[in-house]
Amino acid sequence: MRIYFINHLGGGFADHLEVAGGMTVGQLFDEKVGGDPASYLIRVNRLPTSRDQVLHEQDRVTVTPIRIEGAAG
Amino acid sequence: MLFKAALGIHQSLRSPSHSSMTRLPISTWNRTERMWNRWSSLLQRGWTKAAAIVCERLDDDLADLIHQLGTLRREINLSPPITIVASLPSIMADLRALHDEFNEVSIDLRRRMISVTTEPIILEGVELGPFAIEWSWMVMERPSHYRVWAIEPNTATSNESATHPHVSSGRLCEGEASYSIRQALSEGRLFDFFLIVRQVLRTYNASSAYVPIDEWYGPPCQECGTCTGNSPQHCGSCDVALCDDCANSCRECRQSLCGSCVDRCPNCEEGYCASCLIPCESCHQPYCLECLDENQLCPSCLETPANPTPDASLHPDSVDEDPNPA
Repeated sequence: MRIYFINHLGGGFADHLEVAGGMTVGQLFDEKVGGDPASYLIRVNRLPTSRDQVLHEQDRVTVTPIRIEGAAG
Repeated sequence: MLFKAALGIHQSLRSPSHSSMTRLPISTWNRTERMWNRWSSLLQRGWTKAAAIVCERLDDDLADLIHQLGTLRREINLSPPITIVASLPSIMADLRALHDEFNEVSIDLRRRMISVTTEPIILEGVELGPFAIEWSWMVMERPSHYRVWAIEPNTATSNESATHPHVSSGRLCEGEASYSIRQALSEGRLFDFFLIVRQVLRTYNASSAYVPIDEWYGPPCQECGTCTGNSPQHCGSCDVALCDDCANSCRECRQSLCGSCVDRCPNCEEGYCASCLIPCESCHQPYCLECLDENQLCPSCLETPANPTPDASLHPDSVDEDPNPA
């Protein structure tokens, strides 16, 4: 199935992906991002989600780091 | 209202003047050039006070220009940006979702502006208050143009423009969020944009801050580490910040001194700076003026002269003479 995946880590990524049917949010995160999911805000269709939520066709998944460092000047 | 705002945003995104490609900051350059010319003109006329005021604005414009050029340089070295522009339903969904994510959301159709309010931001115990993030779809030739301002400002003691370690004069220094923010705005992903900016506000980067958070209320005292407030004393010798309790004072010239820079007169043991102690003419040890006599001799040297007068009875030329003549 086709989903829209947006990753705000580093340089960023936003594109449609083909994923296996029945894939969960946690599986997608482990495959595309990795690391500790507690360090990210993970939204499906702009709503908070859980790892075991099953993804559906055309779902919009965004992953945003909780810590994003600004700068000065 | 939601639909009208979404429609306006969608139309602006699809207008010929908007492009997902970052462009040279022509308008910023033009603004900087105008300010530069004004500054030069004031200097030529000798109007130094007016020139100083304009110089501050010129400095802001130059900083903005440098920032935009730096961002552009980073972006051209990344893979080409995706040119997907958000659909009208997607923009509508973003605007609805903002109400669930933020304390307050307001849409001003006349000014074509969306504003969200964060929760009170607290960084390492310092309460900075809630922040408003304002973005206007009116200025679409500069899709990255937005403003961040403190609703209940708790500005840094040493810099009134700094309302947050990474916010100065309404501008957020985006740091590692720069590219993501630009992409989100270029593609009309407003929910993502506001979310990213909020996460930057919630994060403290100690390595690059307008004012470090541990100096928000003034620099720490070099001796005891407590906050010195908005009028710290400074050691007259090494310039470190000192609180009122830890600052020593030269008894002669009254300048403040830290514990490492204060010297003690060996006689009276009062504290002085190095410049106010005078070397004894004999032993060359530094003493205060009050402890030296009119010949600039210290009490120790006065008691034990360096070259005592020798005993006449022991003089070699008088060995054969009667030491006690009648």
